[in-house]
Amino acid sequence: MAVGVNPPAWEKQGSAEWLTCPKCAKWFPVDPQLIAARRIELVCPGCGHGFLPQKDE
Amino acid sequence: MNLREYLDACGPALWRVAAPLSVVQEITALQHALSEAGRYPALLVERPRLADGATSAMAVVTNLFASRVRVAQLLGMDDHRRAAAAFARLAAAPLEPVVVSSAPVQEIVERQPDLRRLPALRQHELDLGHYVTAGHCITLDPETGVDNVSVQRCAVRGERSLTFYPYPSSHNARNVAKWEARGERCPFALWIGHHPKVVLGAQAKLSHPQSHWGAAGGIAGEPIRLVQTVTHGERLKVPADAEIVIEGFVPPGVRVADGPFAEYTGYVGVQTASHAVEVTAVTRRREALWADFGAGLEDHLVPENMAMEGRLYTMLKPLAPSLENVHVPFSGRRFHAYLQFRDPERGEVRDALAGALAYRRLRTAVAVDEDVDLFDERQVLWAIATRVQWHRDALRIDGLTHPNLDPSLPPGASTITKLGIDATLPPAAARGRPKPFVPANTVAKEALAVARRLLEGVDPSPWPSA
Repeated sequence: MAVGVNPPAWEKQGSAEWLTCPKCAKWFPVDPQLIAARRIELVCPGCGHGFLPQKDE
Repeated sequence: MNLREYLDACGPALWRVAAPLSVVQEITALQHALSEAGRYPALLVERPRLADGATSAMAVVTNLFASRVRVAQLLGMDDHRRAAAAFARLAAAPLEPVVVSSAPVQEIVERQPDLRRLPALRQHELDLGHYVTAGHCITLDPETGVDNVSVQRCAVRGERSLTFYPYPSSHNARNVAKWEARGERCPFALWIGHHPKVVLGAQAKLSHPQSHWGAAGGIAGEPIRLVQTVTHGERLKVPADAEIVIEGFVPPGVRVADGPFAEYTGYVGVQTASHAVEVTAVTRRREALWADFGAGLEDHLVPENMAMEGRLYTMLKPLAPSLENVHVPFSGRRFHAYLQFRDPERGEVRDALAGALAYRRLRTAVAVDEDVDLFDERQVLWAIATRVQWHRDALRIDGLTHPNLDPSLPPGASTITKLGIDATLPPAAARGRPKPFVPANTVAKEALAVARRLLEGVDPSPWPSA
């Protein structure tokens, strides 16, 4: 089994992912499901810039 | 009954802040500083400064609910420690609302409002923007026409647009989902600012679909005066004596990013998908007051937790007649409850623990005896440390619904494991006999009285406090 796939229940997994704004580089926490959906524009709390998450983010 | 009547009667429990505090973090910072100092006045910020530096035309009222003592007094309780039974009793005696044709909250009707001129606070670092934190959001069940009220966060996103984030398992979320399944817009309104009794009453924890107005009237002690909204007419009504109402629709199939927002857990809630509101009107009093809850602070948690105490008492008392009291402590946010019993029969405590854990908001319930002060967490922890054998007294239940925004939730989990802890003593062999357990350490009352007299008049300040 690949590392990180179906980890055992006692291994803690995070509930938030962090992204950086492509315009102002501010970090902010995002729901992983929102990133995975890739169809709702994220909004930077620092500068208000809206952007879709990229595959490499 | 309205907010300004309450403020007029507050006396020294209200701090009128003349300094021009900014809506960007400064008002909330004052609440944090007061919390650190262990002081909980209500706050009226007379000249709040908007983000662009202009002075707001509306004053901001916050911290109204930060004190359990004051909330209890509001509801006519002598002792905040007995809120569970009192809240349950008040919520069980509803007073149906009355509908009026003209209302103070409709003195001004704006059909082309600009929400950005409202003094909505940007409370914490990382918050997405300015939030309506004390918005009592109303939606309708399309099948029954029954309305629902709940405090849910809404971010101001434009002149006439808001986000709307009802937690996925909330009654408002169920209502919106039903409208969405029909492909129709959900009628929406939120009201801000009212007498604290009405605010507390509107937070009564009820079934779905079940309107909150009756319970709110019961808790407030008089029927709530309602008025038709200017957008939705009689199908959606709002309190006539509120300060501000924002009306609109939740369009189907639309999702926008909401958050980050500093939440009741004490942690920042992540940016997530939320509904949107297309705003159609703002109605308000002529000199309206903007009401706010300090998110994650006592102001936010105290009224909710006291309402939870009432709900748990109502749920559990029929299961366990020996239940005496319930405390939902600030330290546990909304995840912990302490249950107190007096001489429970065998099985009663575990029945009650299982019932408590079925309440979505809770993760852990702790049962203690009548000799443990539920409001002294050192005593609760002492009971856990000394009365519990984990193989026997830990009630672990998998697959239960979870509280929203639990930051420890594993990714993708739709249910969680919860824990009940029976920290009560074993029962006596017969009523009136001592419990088969070693007694707690005590000294004679007379000896304690001598010691206390000795301490009177002594300055303890040079002595270490920890």
